[in-house]
Amino acid sequence: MSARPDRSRVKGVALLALVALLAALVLSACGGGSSSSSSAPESGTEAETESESAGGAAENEGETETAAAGENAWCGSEGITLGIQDGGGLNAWSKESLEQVQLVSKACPAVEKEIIVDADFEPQKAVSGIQSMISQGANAIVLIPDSGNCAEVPAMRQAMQRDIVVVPWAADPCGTEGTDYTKYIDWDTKAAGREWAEWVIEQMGGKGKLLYEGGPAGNTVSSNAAEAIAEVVEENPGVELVEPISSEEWPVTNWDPAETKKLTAAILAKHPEINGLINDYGASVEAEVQAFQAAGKEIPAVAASESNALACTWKEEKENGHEFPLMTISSRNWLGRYAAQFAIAEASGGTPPALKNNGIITLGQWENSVSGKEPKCDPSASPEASFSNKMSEEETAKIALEG
Amino acid sequence: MNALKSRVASPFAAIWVATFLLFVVSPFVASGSLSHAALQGMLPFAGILAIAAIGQTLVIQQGGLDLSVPGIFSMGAVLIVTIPGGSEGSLIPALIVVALVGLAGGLINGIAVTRFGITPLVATLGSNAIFIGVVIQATGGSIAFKATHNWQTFTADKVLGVPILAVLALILTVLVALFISRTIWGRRFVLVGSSPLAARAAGLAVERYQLGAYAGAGLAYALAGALLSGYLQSPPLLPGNEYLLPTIAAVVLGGTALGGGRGSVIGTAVGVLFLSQLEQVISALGAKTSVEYLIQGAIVALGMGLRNVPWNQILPGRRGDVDVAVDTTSPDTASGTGRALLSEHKEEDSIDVSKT
Repeated sequence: MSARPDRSRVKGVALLALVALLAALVLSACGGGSSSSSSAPESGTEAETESESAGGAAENEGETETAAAGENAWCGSEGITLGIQDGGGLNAWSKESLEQVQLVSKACPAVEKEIIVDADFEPQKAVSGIQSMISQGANAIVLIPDSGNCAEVPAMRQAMQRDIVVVPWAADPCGTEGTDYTKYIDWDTKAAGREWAEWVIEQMGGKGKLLYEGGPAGNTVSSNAAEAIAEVVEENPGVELVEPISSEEWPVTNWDPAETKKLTAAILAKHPEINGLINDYGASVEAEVQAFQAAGKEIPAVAASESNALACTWKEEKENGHEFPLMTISSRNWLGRYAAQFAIAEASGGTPPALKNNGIITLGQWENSVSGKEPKCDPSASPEASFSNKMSEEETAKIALEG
Repeated sequence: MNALKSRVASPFAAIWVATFLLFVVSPFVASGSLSHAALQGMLPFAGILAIAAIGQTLVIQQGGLDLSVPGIFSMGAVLIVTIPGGSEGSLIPALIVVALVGLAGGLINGIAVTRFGITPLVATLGSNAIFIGVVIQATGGSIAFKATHNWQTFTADKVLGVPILAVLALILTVLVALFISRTIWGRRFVLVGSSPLAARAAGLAVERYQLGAYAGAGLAYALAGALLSGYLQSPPLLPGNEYLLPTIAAVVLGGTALGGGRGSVIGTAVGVLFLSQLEQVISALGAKTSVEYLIQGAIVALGMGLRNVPWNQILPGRRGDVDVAVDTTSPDTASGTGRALLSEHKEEDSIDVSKT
């Protein structure tokens, strides 16, 4: 008979332990994030407390805020609510992008409230996120429309119909300017694809086998880059693509290191000789390099977007006497500053920045181990950190602004 | 003769045959898919999946289903990197924390299922969301460190030319298989999975075994996550997302019944080998992503579906054989086995009681 009270006591203790464990997990999680938040100007959004895993971003933050405060013609006088959305949201690239947008929004007093939504690459979540911003009274929305293939267009159009300023950036939004969005700001992906391909083929001496690996199937960044690379390869008859690529198909890494490593190992098993690599996500290249090392192959010429881990791998290999040619293009998160400036200016009555080429900016090479622009490695920073985001306003203005 | 027949028609035999055929056919279908380089590329990932799938086997054998693989796996992957923060000295404490967090995560699932009676599907779906939330909150959206050098070296190591991750998976699989088939605790575990009612009638603490399954599973996922981190050096934030469906597919292909009871971790490991080699062949064929998903999906669906076809009605000539097979697997048989085990357990438990 005495078993019953014992049993319920055990149940109670178990429940208590469960709650305590959950509380401890949540507290430890908060502790991990807040240790780096002391330099944030004010608390408020969840994203602010996240700041520094990107390594040294605080330094950059102070620098840019000063620059922004000195030249804030884009910051108008009408109070606004700013919506910030990322079609992905759960990797270092997304995090740096958000930081860059917030550098600008925090420097403008007209931004009274921020609404931040990540879509985790789920189109439905992206659409409902935009709709939720509309219903919460957003006056301007800055978004990275890469949750799926052109998935955000209908929701962006709804926002435009409510006179909300919509500025997509960093991924092709599809749709039409004026109807579906106010202004699209991005790098010229095709120019980047050409730059990568031309450089790698030059390193290959105009002949050999070239491998391109891209992100999730259907994403517009990889699609445009693949199309441009395929064009350059066609212009060089001595070069052969290891796996066929076009605007519709390419070897898919999902921008995930595990997938990249598996895929590269499988491709290497089939094609033991590869002379050049292009990857549109620098952070994945580390996994690609590991697959080459595991197969006992020398690393060929690599062209990719910048990444701290990639630069550190390059440095390590150089020190071990296995230097490989490396060229990178900026990971372009800093374009988010201009996307945010444009959106805030249009909504708050400021003057929008005068961007080159209607907002589609050609980014040149960021690092080039052959021409002396040595890749930057900081072992104390996050492996996925992108140092081009530390550029000053003057430096970015030279690349992106007219005059 | 009957024993041989039952062995051949055993639900665990199919995956052996399928895997053998796949390996035989591989070099003809896709050249290079069975080369040394291809195997060296495939085996480490297969090892990691096999370790995670051991956990899923234990839970499914207890009639459950664990959807919290992504969450616990990712916690293991992130903790092994963030706790040492690059310092070699903290690797052992980090491994201990990974193990404890895995166990705790599994216990949360187990308590939710056994004590609060929540359906496993719902309980683990909910807890998974919590674990993923913890990972994102703790890291702030990205991982600031690489795995320590020692951990990278260990996970990339080879034993007699075989990737250590595959060797580790083999050792763990054999240990768990021996534990289940050769120890009293293991036999009771099977009895609880086959028929909780019979086990309860036999005086077994059913909930304790079910809790143990979930806790062991959590440990397996967290360990697999930690190993993946070392192998990739810089893990992504939520690497576990890619491991939920493959663990379930491997378990079912391996012959473990989704309803609980019948189960084999060795069958699961062979299922993992099958899935990994299948992926390798499809990759080597250069198939488009869409085709890759279609082929994988179709083969897994076929593998699972074929088990449910009433072969004894379709093929009358096979009746005798099938009967033998059914004899070893049907719920009736399970409870039959249960009865056989029951007397043994009654004895054991009476001793336990007298001791207390």
